[in-house]
Amino acid sequence: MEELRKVLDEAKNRLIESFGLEPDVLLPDIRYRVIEEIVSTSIIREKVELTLTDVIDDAILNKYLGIPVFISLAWMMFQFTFSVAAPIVDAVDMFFSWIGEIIGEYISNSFLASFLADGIVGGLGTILVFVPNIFFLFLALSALEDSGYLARVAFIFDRVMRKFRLSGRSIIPHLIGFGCNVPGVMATRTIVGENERILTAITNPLISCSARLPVYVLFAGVFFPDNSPTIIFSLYMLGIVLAFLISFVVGRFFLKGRPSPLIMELPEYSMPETRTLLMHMWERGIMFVKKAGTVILAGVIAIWALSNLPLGVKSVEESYLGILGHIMEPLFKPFGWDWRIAVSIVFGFVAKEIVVGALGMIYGVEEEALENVISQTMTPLSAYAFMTFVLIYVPCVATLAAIKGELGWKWAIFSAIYEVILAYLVALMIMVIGGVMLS
Amino acid sequence: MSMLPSGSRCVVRSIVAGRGLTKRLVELGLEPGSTVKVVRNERGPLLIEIKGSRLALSRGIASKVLVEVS
Amino acid sequence: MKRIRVALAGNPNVGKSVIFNFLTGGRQHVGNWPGKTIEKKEGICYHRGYELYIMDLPGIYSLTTFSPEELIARDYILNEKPDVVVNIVDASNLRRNLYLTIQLMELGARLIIALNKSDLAESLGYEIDEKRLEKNLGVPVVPTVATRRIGLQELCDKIIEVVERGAPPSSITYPEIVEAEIERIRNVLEKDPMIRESYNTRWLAIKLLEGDEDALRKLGLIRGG
Repeated sequence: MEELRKVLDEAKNRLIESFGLEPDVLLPDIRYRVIEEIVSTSIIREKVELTLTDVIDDAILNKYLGIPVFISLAWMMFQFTFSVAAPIVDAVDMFFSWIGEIIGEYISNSFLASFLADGIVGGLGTILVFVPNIFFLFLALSALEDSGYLARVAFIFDRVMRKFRLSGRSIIPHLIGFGCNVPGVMATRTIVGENERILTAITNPLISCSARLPVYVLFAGVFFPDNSPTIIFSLYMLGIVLAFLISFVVGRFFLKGRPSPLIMELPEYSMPETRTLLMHMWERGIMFVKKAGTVILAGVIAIWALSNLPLGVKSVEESYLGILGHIMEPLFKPFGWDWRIAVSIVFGFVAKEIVVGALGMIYGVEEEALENVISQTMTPLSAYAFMTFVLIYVPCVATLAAIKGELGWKWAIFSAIYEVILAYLVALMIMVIGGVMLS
Repeated sequence: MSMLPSGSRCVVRSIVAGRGLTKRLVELGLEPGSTVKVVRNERGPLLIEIKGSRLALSRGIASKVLVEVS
Repeated sequence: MKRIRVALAGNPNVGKSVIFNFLTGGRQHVGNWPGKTIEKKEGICYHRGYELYIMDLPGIYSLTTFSPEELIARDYILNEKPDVVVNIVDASNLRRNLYLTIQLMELGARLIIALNKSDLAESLGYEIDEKRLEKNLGVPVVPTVATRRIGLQELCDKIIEVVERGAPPSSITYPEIVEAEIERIRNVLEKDPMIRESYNTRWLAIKLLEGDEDALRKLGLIRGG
């Protein structure tokens, strides 16, 4: 070893003498010189001075145009995802309801029928109903990424993101999060710094995914009929603000290490090829269906079991789920929520979009009549608190699974715990402040 | 390099960063003697063109690359 | 059926995953590299009676150990010794892409260059003489436009040809002064039989000279785990 050390030191000194550079910089330099030799006769003509990429970047990275362009493209992406997918979603929904009915007709054992119809088919239905949306979202995202635009987005937002201990690349998972948090969390894989990746992933669930919208629409419609868009918007904003706030707090106080400096390549703009786009869309879509799908199916079956056991139970209230709801009720006394709401919260843990359906089932009414029933069990203030609770508490199991997949159990559990606590505190604050303001 | 205006060209003289970062920058093409074009330098990270490819660098890193204007 | 082990290496964004997908189709398996959250993609491609087992290495700029991706790629090539390394090079970004190529040549890998995105390069104004590039590098160059499936058959043909022909490993020679130092270091390394057996000593010498932390650590010249 000593001989090796000596030879290395001598070599270093000799090279510094000959070239004026230390070997760790000299070697890369020499490699590039060799490359230049190779390339000098192989590249017959060089790139033109002003390429299409230069022209487009000039516009897109412009101080004033950059953000508006981004917002329009983001908006178009969501429009595409939801509107174009809508007819397919409706078709899938109808199909699964139909299957559920058929099962009910043909299978006499009501327990088994319920298991198949509500448990399995219901579970599959829940997943498959938003699968078209997810595939279209991935298609749009692949287009933005393959064209080269997404790198520019990271560039534009880098400075702002750094203030919250995030990276410019964090904007993309958060943007995806508006559609669904599961691909949002999965998208954090491309973020370079480990701290930035962790922070983006654990705050992503605070971004209101589309599954929460039915809950918002229902409650806002009932309790704030004149202002429902504003109320819903306030919830989205609250989520975003909290995401950045938590990111800053956790990054500053819980994580070690400085933020990674930005070194990022901006590829040339190019027209994405259809086949490649579809390939990327399919790759990501299938991964999502496999990961989220299995988890959600398991969750729905678990919930079904809890609500239909012990055997022969007549109403939700008597089932294990109902019992659980009653146990949880005292926790929610400050908000004025009864055991039914508590039960719906358990449902929301599995998938937020089934909260509304769950409420219908618990109250024993069709969704249309739900509005009347609800307006009698809560006050506007406690409804708003409920909506924020749904916004913040525990990521749905699929998101939690995604966090575990990207960051491991430790961070998944941390996310679950901090979000429950945060949800409780914020809802409590709303009740208190609201109570003060209204009296 | 962080002080150069958009559109300027310069030649890398040296890099005053830690070993790891210096080596990384050199391997990406910023070796002493190479020509860099500062494509964009407004607020926020810089956009440079080196060896035919575009790189975004944070201001902090760019300020560690010492250059000579050409 | 004769099996050929192929590794795909290249910078990020060069179209490596497109090539991998077109070659392997549904016959791929995605997992994680042990102990890391980095995707491990492997797949099979059948071509002219051969079974090509393809390992898609993470996109990297260099074989120096800056990131776990770089460590994974280089460990794979060093330890698993694939029969062929297909280096996917972005024709629109040739100089920077060749930096990895040179390092693969230092490793002495049996190399084929897939010169991808030739359409993009052309639209940017580049004109590249592939034959000349092949001659200058001493390594076969196959032009491809992966997104349009152009050149992929030829690439597979070349993989088989290179293996059947028993093409020599690639190599790169540096200026005399540097080569002299490399040789001196190499001689010291060769004295230890264990090192001689386990490593490509020329490559190790270059890495040590360069101050590569992983190499220095493995030889106990610096501390660390």
